[in-house]
Parts: sequence; C-alpha cells; structure tokens
Amino acid sequence: MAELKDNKRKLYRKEKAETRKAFKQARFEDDQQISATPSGDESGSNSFSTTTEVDLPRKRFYRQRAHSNPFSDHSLEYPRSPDAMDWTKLYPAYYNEESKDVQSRVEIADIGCGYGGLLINLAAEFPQILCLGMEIRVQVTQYVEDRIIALRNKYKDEPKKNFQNISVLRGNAMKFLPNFFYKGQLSKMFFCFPDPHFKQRKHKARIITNTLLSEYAYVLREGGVVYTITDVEDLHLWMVKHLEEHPMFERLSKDWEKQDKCVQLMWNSTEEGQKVSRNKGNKWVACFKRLPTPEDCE
Amino acid sequence: MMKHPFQSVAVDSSTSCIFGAFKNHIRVFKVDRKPTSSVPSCTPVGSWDDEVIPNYQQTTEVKKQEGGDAEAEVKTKKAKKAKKSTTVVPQPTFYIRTLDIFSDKYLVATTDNDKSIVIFEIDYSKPNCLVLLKRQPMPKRPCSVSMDSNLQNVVVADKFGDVYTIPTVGELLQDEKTMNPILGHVSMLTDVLMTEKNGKQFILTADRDEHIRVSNYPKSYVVKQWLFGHNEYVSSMHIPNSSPDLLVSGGGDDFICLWNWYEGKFIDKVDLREHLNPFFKDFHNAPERFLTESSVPEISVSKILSLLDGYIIVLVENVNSLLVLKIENKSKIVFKQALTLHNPLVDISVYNDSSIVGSNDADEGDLVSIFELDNGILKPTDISLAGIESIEVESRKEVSSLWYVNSLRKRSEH
Ligand SMILES: C[S@@+](CC[C@H](N)C(=O)[O-])C[C@H]1O[C@@H](n2cnc3c(N)ncnc32)[C@H](O)[C@@H]1O
Repeated sequence: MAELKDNKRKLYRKEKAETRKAFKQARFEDDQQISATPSGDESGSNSFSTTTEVDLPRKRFYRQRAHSNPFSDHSLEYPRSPDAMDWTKLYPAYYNEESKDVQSRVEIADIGCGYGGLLINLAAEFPQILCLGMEIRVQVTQYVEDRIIALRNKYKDEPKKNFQNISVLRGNAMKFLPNFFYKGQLSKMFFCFPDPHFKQRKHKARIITNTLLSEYAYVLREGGVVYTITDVEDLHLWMVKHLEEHPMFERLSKDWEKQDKCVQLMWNSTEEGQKVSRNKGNKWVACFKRLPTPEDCE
Repeated sequence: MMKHPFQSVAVDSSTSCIFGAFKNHIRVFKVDRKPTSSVPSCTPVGSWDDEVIPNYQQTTEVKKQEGGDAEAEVKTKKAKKAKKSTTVVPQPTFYIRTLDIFSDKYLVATTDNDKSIVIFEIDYSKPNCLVLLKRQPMPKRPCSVSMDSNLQNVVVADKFGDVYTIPTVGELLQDEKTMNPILGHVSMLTDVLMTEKNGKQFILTADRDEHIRVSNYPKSYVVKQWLFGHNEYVSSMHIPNSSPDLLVSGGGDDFICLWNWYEGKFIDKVDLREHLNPFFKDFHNAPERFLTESSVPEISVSKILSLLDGYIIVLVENVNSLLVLKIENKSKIVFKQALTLHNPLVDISVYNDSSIVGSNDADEGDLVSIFELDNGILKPTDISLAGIESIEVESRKEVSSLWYVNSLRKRSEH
C-alpha cells in the first residue's frame, strides 16, 4: 500500500517536473531522492489530470522531512556572486531585450518560505516589486515553483495581478545570501515560523543569530525591515533578544505593526501560520528596522 | 630514527630568530651568520613545552558525551555515521597548529588539544625569550590568528565559523563558554587577517564556502563587502607589505587570485596547475570513492607570502616545489618560477625581505632551509642551520599530521 502511494507520488512529481521544464523554470536538480516519509493526509485518492492545463500542485506529493541541516554541504546550486546570478528564468516577464537582463531587482525576500503562502499574497500586495522565496528543502521548493507556474498560467491575461513578480529558489539562506543579493538590495526580509531548534546545542542553527544578523543588515538597505513571526515563545524571545542586541537593528513599535500591511499578511497567509491558527496556538510578532550604517564604517 | 619536522615556523626578522613548533613544543633559535661562513651558529634562546599534557582518555570522553547527547535527537543516518567515525579515530591530537609573530613583540600559538590561544611576549633579555602572557581556552578549535593594529587584541578565527578577540595583555582569562564572537560565518573559517586603510581597521575572513568577507573593525557587525571569485575553499590570504590595498588569496582552486580588497575588486588570477603537474603524487588524488574519469590531482595552497618588489611565494601542500609569482603594476599577477625541492616544505615564513625559511619534511638533513631571491630567481642557499633541533622520533608514525588543508574540500555526496 505504502509502496503504491510512493509510486503514485513519483509519477505525479515526474509529470510536474516535465511541466516545470517545459516552462523553462527548472533550474534545479531533477527529482532525486523522493522522501518516503509518510504524511498525514493521504486518504483521498484523486487521479492525476491528463490534460495539458497546468493544475495547482498538490502539497501532499511534495512532503519532505521537516528539518534540514543548515550546516551541511548539501550540493546546493548558487551563483558565484550576485553578478553571476541569472534572474531571467525566475522572472521571465521582466526580461529586458536590450539589457539582456531582468529589468528590476528582487527587493522582498521570504526566508524559509515553506509552501509559499506568503509569496502568493505578496504578489498582489506589491505588483511592482520582485519578491523571492528562498527555501532549503528541494521538494518544498519544487512545490512552490509548480504553484507559481500554475498561477501564472491561470492569470496570464491579467495585466497586474499575474504572479510574474514572485519566484522561488532553493538555497541555504544562512550561507549564501550574499551570493544572490547586493549590498542594500532588499527592503524587506520575512522570517515566518522559522525552525525552532529547541536544544541549546542547536542554537547556532537558528536562522537569527548575532552573527547572521550582520549578513542580513548587509543585504538590507537602510530603513529596510526584518519581519519575524513564530508560535514558539522561546524562539520569539530569542529573536527579539538578538535583534535588539544587534547595533544595526531597532525594534518597531506595536503601533507600527498595527498599521503595516505585511504584518497582517504574514499573520495568516503562510501554511505554518494557518496551521497554528487551526490549532488555536499563539503567535508572536516582532519587526525591526535596519539602522543607518555608522559614519565611521564602510 | 628521524627528526620531527617543524609543523609550523615563524621568524622574527629584526633579530634573525627562528621559531619552530613540533608536536606540543616550541623552540627558538638565534641565527648568527658570519659574513664569510655558510655555517651560522644557531643558539637556543627560548622554548616552551605545553604543560597541559594531552590526555587521550579525556579527549575520547568528551567526544562520547557529545555523541550521546546528539543520539537523543532525531538524527539523519548520515550524521550518525559521521559521529561514529569521530569516536573511532584512535589518534590523539596534541600539537601546535600555528605560530605567528606580531610586530617582533608577540608570539601567538594555537594548540589543538585543548583549543587554546597561547600568547607570549618575546623578550630576549630573558634567559628564555618566551614569556607566557596567557593561555586562553577557546570554545572551538582555533584555525588562524591575527592582531589588531595597536596590538591590543588577538583576533582568533575558529572551525565553527566564529571570530573572537582576546586582549593581548592584562585581564583575566575569559570563560570560553560565555565568550561572544565579534563576527561569524555559517561555515568553517580558514584564515583571518587584520588590515588598515586611511587609518581605519578592517578584518578579512576566509571560509570553506569560497567566501572572503571584509568587515569593519572594531564595528565588525558592519560588513563592507564580499570578494567573490573562488570556486573552492579559500585557505590562505596575504596582503603584501609593499601594496597594502592588494590581497592575494588561494586555497583549493587551480589558481591564485589578486584583489583590491578595499575596493572589493577582483584584479587578476594566475593558474598554478600547469606548473605543478610535474610535482603531483598519489597524495594529490581525490579519495578513491570520489575518483571519477575526470578527476585531476587536487591542489591545496597552504601559505602565501610576499618578498620585495612584488614577489609572491606560494606553498602548496605536499609538493616538492615552491612557486614564485609576481605582482606587476598592481594590476597583474604572473607566474615566475617553480623551484624544485628535495622534499616538501611543511611551512614557510619570511626571513628577510628577499629570503624565506621553510621547514623540511625529510627523513634526514636540516630541519629548516633558507631560500633566497636573487635577481628575481628563488634559490636554495647553502646556509646550513644544523644547530636547529627538534626531537628524534622512531618513525613517521609518530609525526604529527602535517597535511590537512585539503580536508577542507567539499565533496559531492554521491
Ligand atoms: C517551519 S517552516 C515555515 C515555512 C513558512 N515560512 C511558513 O510559515 O509556512 C521553516 C522553513 O524554513 C526552511 N529553512 C530552514 N533553514 C533554512 C535555510 N537555512 N535556508 C532556507 N530555508 C530554510 C525549512 O526547510 C522550512 O521549510
């Protein structure tokens, strides 16, 4: 039985991979090790679509082990430098014939974007701005890619809300952010429900640490905002503590949070956030402004 | 029987003193060279023997503890495998990894067994010129040290990706469990270098993930920029005395890079492979399970130094050669020479502005040799430094591991 499901999953994902290729989006490794981790919601047994229409992908076919070690070497693909990054495959609609490049730069990054719920909402909220999700798990990334392909296809005749401004790539945000982004390129960075890494010994694996914040401060422009939300109070306190201690960040007030559209978006648009709501869990939000670079620094 | 090679050498040029480390010992020799003789006298002027006798039992216990803790967590199969192999390793590591001299005044050593930084003041008026100032235990194994411009702090980079500062003199030791890093990479650090421009200090850090980072100092939480150009780990950085804006870097790549570190500009690179071809041996092949049809011998740069007139000396791990490069007009780096040697050199250090000392990895002969740049050509000298001694060991098995840079190379998992 389990084997059957595995096969089905493989078949499904193969089909999606082909679509992805057809859409020239696939810039990551082909499907390799498909995780055999069983997932909760496999009771229903819908058959695959055989039409050429691109369907929205089904999440349960993309399950992967929940945790990924941010220190391991993986065999990630990443550009040698921001100059070497080819964004045209990620944002084909923004391609400029003359410059042979994408005509604007990513400004909003969703770090550890998971299944992409926030990105989808950012697409409509910031139709003029390129948004990027970065996710370390292969299959989860592919799910988001397929989701974006399907949405772009569905809304291809819309002039504005057409999902051309969002994209996703597989990457380890704790190691390679500066390979993708220039100094001061980003205006917003989201850290929604990051992995908590409860154990003391594992705290360095957390995505917010004193030392990593210096890298985030580098890719963020002055006045840029770090958004954090979590359902783990201990992690919330940890993130607040480290952001407050970091000389390049300053906490934004509760009033500011109330009037900010993105705070509302991240509250309930991510898959993890929705799960927490279903389970009636608490959510903690903290937002921080990137301060000006000190005058005696370069 | 053989003499244990110096795994690290350093020179105080102002006094012609050579510092060598073997196992967990440091020896200092003053070289007095009479103009007419090629046999100078080498007088011992200082020594230090690591007091903390490395306790094999202790090391394994610590490892077990770590493993036990980790086992409680949900672990991937691979991580478990890795853990196992660390507990099995039967070799106690107890030796001094690096020796560095700063402004002819301080000697800083890093030790492997208890992950410490050992700071000495060099005082030749004392019977033993090594005056121990402090031995600071570190949270993780240190890999490289530098010193800030007013010699107030030792700057230490470690295997866990973090950089710490330790006051050179005074103050009590810090509790290594509560030390806070001044910056960090999510990678293994390999080298750290302090430097200055327009009266401002900067700190350069290199890692296993091809990155070189330039940060402000002491406000090291402000990153100035990254230098992108390496495809493999970076293991060695060097700023030539004569052009402090430039940086030369190398590691696991076939080439050496030249940068303007301050402007964040890549300037030029020079290939090493073609010149190293005659010197490769089995040692340089990838481990068997990673060997493929297209595998080529692997190059690991372990040290980069500069002499006068823009000459750069590059030491590559375990080859019978020293490479000479030259920086021309601050805009090019070119290959000049591959000097053939009888034996590989474990470490090199600048002796004076036209010569270097190298520590020999040889079963017999002098422990160190001097090489001189003569009209742009690097030559071995016939200066015999026979008085410089370490200890006798029974066999190679007792020699500390001398080559480890290439273990930084990332291997693809299948
Ligand atoms: C608990 S999930 C939350 C996902 C999403 N933000 C949400 O709210 O639904 C955390 C995600 O971060 C990803 N992640 C963890 N470390 C990462 C890293 N270093 N770089 C990129 N993504 C990472 C994980 O794979 C996981 O999908």
